[in-house]
Formats: sequence, C-alpha cells, structure tokens
Amino acid sequence: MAKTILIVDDSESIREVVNFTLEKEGYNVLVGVDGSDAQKHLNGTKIDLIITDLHMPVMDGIEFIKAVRVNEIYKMIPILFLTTESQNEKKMEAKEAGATGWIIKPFLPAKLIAAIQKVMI
Amino acid sequence: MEDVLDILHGKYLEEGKRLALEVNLILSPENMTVFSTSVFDEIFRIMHTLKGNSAMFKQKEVEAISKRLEVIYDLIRRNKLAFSSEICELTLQSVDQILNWFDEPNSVNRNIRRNQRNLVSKLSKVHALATSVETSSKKRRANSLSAFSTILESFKSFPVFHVHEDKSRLPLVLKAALIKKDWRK
Repeated sequence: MAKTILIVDDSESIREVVNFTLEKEGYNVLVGVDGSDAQKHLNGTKIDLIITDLHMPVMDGIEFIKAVRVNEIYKMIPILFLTTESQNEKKMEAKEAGATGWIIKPFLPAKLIAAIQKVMI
Repeated sequence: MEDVLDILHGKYLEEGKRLALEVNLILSPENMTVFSTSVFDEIFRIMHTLKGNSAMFKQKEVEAISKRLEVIYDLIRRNKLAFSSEICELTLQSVDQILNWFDEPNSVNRNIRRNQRNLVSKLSKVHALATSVETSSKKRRANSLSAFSTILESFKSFPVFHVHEDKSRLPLVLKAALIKKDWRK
C-alpha cells in the first residue's frame, strides 16, 4: 500500500515540484497551503510523513508542528522541514518543537527521496 | 530534475509575477494608509518565497534581488532598520526589474543587466549600512514611523490625474493654466 505524505508550503511552485517528485515515486500526496490549512488533514487520515515549509502566512511551520505533536494520532510521525532558512537558531527551535529533520532548498529530488526513505523506515 | 523544472517553469513565472505585483499593491499609496509591521512581514514573506522559488528554478538574477530584499525587510520587521523612502523606492524598482526578468528570462538585454547590477549594489549598501549603524530599537521604530509619514505626504502631493476628469477637481495651478489658455482663445 502506498504511503501518504502531507506537503505544507505556501509556494505553489514548490508544492508542485515536491508533489510531482513524490507521485513519480509512488507516494500518495496531501497538500496544505499553510499550517492552518494543513490541519484539515489531521482528522484521523493516515499520514506517514509531513514535509513543511517554515515561513508561511496564517500559521508558520513551527506553530504547525507544535499543533501536530499535541495530536495523539500524529504524535510520532516524522516531520521534515523543507526551507531556505539555514540559521542554527531556527533549526534548534524546529527541533524543540518536534521536527525530525531539515532539508535546505533548493533540493535535488534524489536527495529529497533519500531523506524521506531514511526517516520513514 | 531538469524535466520537472521545465514542466513547471510556467507555474514559477506565473506565481512569481503574482507575488511581485502583490508587493506593488502593498506599497501603493492607496494601501499605505495605516502603518503596520504586518506590511513588512508580508513583504518579507513574499521575498522569502520568491528567493526560494528562484533558487529552485535556477533564476539567479531574481534570487539575488529577492534575497537582499528579504534580509532588508527582515531587519525592518524586527525594528533593526528604519523603513525609508529610499527603501520604498528601491523595492518598487526591484519589483519592476523582477517583472522584466519574468518577461525576458535569461535576457541578454544590456539595460536589464545594468539595472540588475545597480540594484543589487544599492540593496547591498542599504544592508551593509543597516548592520553597521547601531541605533536603539525605539529610535529605529520612531524613524520608520517618521519616514512612513514622509512617504505618505509625498504621495499626497503627487496626485494622479485622470483624463476627462471634472475640471473643478484639478489643482489650482492647472486650473489657472486652463483659464489662461481659454482666455487666449
């Protein structure tokens, strides 16, 4: 059975690139345009991994993963940040909020897939 | 990878133009009536997205400008740099330049390239100056507010004329010119 990945990014272009890359690898993809919008998928739907941007309107990535981690169903699922942000302070903040890993944009699809496979084992 | 980027290049251009025009709209005199840090947050976020998208789609020229504006607006929203008429003007010029790049990607047009270099240099200077000058957060905020008022005033003294508009709404100087012209007839 195909695994499901939730992508959260306010950039339509990036969402499309990630979506295209993941679907090509056989993953099911769910999409959110910001943290608040992505919460609509946290309704018991089986999600195997979340990939989220950091800077987003309405609800940013840190606030979003805090909301994910308080939900019993999604408490343990891996969450990767996909962002251009590279400040260590932000990385630490994300780690404390419950992030599993950090991928810097721009990314190579092969590396994205490798990172996904590594955290989904 | 190349094929994914080629397939989605149109989407990148479409989104980029929309984001650039959003900045124009935010900084338009009609909308700049209320001073709010959320305006700078919004421009920061747009520049952040433009930078990320442009890096992904290998558009170095757009990335270079948006990266610098992102840093500048990050400083402004954190009260570490005062918003000024110079920054406002540079932002609007940058948006025009970005739109030029979207219309002519990988342009070899000398003017566009020269403008690009000048803008990047000016933006870098603003950033360098911001990080070298130490002023208190309160003072910077006060400076931002004062610059904002000055910009608003300059917009007020720069009316937009609509052709065929009622003459009674024209500024006195223009009315006088028209009366003079009528008298000569």
